[in-house]
Amino acid sequence: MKKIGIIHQTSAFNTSHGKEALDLAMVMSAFEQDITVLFIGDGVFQVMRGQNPEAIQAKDYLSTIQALPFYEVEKLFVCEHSLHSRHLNTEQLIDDVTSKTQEEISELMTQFDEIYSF
Amino acid sequence: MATFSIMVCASHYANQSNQSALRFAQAVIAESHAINGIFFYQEAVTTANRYNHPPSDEPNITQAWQTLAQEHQVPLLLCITAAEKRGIIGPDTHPQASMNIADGFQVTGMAEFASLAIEADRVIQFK
Repeated sequence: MKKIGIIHQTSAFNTSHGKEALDLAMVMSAFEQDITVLFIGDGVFQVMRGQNPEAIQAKDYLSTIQALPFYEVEKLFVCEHSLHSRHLNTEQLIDDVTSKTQEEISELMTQFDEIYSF
Repeated sequence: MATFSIMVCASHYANQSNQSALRFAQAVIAESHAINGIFFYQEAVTTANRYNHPPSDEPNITQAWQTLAQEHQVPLLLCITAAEKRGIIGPDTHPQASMNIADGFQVTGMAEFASLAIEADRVIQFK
């Protein structure tokens, strides 16, 4: 089993990165790999609660992010610094996402066998 | 000797990193390492459009990938989901008449990539 880090660095819906990073996470989880999903920089906007993709005729893949723990992808981490620098806090995020300091994230990065960033 | 899997996410024309992936693959082979697959994902699936036709004084990246695959038996794999969304059609997905995938490229699924990446010693992503 490999330790795989999948990093979201872009906001939801402006680009396809969020959806395509999620597709990769889902497939890797089907192969029973040890997956961590990180939301860094503008990636934190992927996990804000109360978004309404239908309003812009976009597919609601955010509900799949929310369902990741059911696919045994339970390590969903958001960068605390990225949140604060955007005047956001964890209460504005979906459930099951934990915030980590930059130091904790740096430490995590050293443990992955593979990192994919989107 | 190490085995590499390479994921290319960048457009064949708009981004230099598609070319960088090719140059990296050439270097891996020159150093006697192995590549178990090049996986074209996101915008990179456009690399496999057989109608890519750059002016003669610009590099033809599609052709360069084909040459690499031919000379070194490196599989060029497309993510089917990403490809269909971007109008790259292989033999199994639509009638032959609309097929536009260039020779040497194969349409596969993300699962194929996952199994290659799990086997590989190193995975490199070019975005």
